[in-house]
Amino acid sequence: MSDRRSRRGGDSLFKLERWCASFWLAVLSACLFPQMLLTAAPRDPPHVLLSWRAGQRGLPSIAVSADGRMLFVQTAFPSTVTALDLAVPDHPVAWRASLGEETSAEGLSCCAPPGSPAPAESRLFVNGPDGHVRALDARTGAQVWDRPLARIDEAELLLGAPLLARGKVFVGTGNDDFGVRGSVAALDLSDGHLLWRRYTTGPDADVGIGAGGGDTGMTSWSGDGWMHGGGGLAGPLVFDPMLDLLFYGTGHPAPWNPALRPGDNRWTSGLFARDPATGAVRWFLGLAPHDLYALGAAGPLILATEQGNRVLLHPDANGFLYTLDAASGRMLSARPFVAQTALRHVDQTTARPDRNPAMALATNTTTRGICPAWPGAVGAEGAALLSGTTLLLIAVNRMCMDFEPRQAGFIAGTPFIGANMRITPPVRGASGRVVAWDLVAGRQAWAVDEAYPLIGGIVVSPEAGVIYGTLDGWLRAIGPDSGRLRWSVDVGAPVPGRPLLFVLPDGRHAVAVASGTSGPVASILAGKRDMRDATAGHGYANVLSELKPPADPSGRVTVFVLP
Amino acid sequence: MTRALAILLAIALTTGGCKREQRDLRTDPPVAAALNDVAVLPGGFGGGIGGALPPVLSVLGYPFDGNAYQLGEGKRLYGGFNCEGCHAQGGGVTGPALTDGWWRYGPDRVSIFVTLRDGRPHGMPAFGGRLTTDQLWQLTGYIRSMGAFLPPSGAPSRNDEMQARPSENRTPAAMPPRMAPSR
Repeated sequence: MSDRRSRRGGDSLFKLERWCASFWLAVLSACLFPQMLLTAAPRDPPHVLLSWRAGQRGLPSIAVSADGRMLFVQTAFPSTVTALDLAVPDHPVAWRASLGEETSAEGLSCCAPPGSPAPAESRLFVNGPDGHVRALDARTGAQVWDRPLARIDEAELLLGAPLLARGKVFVGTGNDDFGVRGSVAALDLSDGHLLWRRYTTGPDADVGIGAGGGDTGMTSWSGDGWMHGGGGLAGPLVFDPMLDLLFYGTGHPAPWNPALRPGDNRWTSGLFARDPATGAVRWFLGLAPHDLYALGAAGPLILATEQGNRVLLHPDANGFLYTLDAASGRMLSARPFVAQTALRHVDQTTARPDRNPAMALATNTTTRGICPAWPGAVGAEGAALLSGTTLLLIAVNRMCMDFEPRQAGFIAGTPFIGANMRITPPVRGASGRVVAWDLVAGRQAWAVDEAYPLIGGIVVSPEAGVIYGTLDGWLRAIGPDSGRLRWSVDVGAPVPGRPLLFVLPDGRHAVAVASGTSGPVASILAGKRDMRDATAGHGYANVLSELKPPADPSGRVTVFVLP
Repeated sequence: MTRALAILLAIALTTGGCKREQRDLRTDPPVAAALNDVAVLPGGFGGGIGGALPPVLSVLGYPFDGNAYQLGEGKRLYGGFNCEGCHAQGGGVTGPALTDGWWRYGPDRVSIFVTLRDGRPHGMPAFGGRLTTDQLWQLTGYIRSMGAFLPPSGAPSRNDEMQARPSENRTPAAMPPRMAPSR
């Protein structure tokens, strides 16, 4: 009896020991592999509604009509637009239109994926890689008008997506890495004739500044540097119907080597507000006069209303979140949302950056550990505001770079860079991060790390959560309150762009995502670059060398129905 | 005796070294014109692929393949004419890599020369109006030496600053060492 009891006691002791051991093992593994906790209880992944293969390399760009019925897919080289009917089973191709045979832009377009088409009620406005803006009939694909705007033979490109407002099509042009003078133009919606075109650099008349401006778009450059000074459209074009203003950020000055362009290099690397009727400048805020690190004023522009005032939120490529009064351009605050070394702080009233002297540049000398690297701390579509809250979700790149400015001469149609770059991962932590920023408290609410830089975009809705794609081919949804993983699906190819949330004609919520490769990252992911050269892909080779190229190099569009 | 040998050896070394860096600062106009005389195989791809070298190259002794001066000038032109913006230090950016042994428009000297002179589709500009014929050949020689060095090794050595990749004279040989002829 006593024997049996003692044996039973021994058993339970043994069980307790075993339980303890497995408990500590679980704690240890949770500490070592925190992803396990997140993946432990995933929700049902979304199911695939449609998977469409482009049959050619490059990242397709996508748009959905307002009623959620038509999915428009634009491919780049050769350039076509395909309309897929989402209301009919099997989602047949409704029409397909060709945008010409021009392929030379393939070697010219650096970083941004081609802008997505812009649907209006009965029309679709498309920026072609041949520099033409076209209006197509949204039901048949027939061309309504065709307006050549950018001179592709001088490496000038149409940048970003066209914006439709006030009966006009607003289009950005430029190509900072080829020394092209950037501009924004307004075309008439009905026939495409040019209403106005305003440049980033040059005399006040070209920039859209009234009398007495002093032509600082010329005088803040040395010689005729402004004529090939860059400053193309750097992020999205944003229109505010309440203030009747057009907002956009200008790109970095050319060349990258700052010693070759002494002066403030106006009006590059700043934010413009223009009158949409005439293009006249209402205000300008320079974020990086004499930009050192080729960042420009890239980054999302998000409008919000705070106590009756229109506020412009701008997470900038330099790692600071700027809050401005949208009507006057007055700075409200600038706070860093990611650790960086290039700036010590930003003046809270003038936006003038206080640069870190340890990160100063000198020609033919390598400066190491500049953070953020030239792709910027955030992409052009890398932030979204959760509606009804004060939570801003930012997809952050945490990359640093070694930078060696070199000599460069301007030759039209060739790159005007004059620099060697080598991108490095951050000293601690992962290269990518999703940051949830509390706008009221002015600090980070939570953050989730990602292995690779989040160069694509991010979307958020209260129902769907925070959705973003990664360069290793995952589409993930995380909860907006804590960042807990909801689901994660393998798309099969890198997602360097922003997913698109929309509602299907039958009322179900869906997300469309384009996968494939574009720009310097792209060529690396497609296995077309020689990784022994650390400067390949403007230095991306150094951080992405472990990524395997996708099994299928074709661009693809996948539509998921959300759970 | 040893002294005479040493002098002879020194003379041999210096004259041998001369050949490695032999330079012609001004190409004779007829020679420069003849250097443009490539016979390209007709075809697509914006200018054809492959063909016959200008006959004058064999008279000159193929200086653009291994002469240190010509290759060094090629490297200088590679930086000065903004090749790095699209091709980096040979690893490629929006343009293809030049060091990986894969050539979209042909690996031979004529193809590369025609690519530089006339440009190619998908964004390669024409440099024919911007460089002289012998500069185009210097650049051709350097681009061929980026991924694989050519004997005799006149390839440039490491850069003064950022070492993004192994220097040109440390790249693998373009062809295996010569084997003894089989009997």
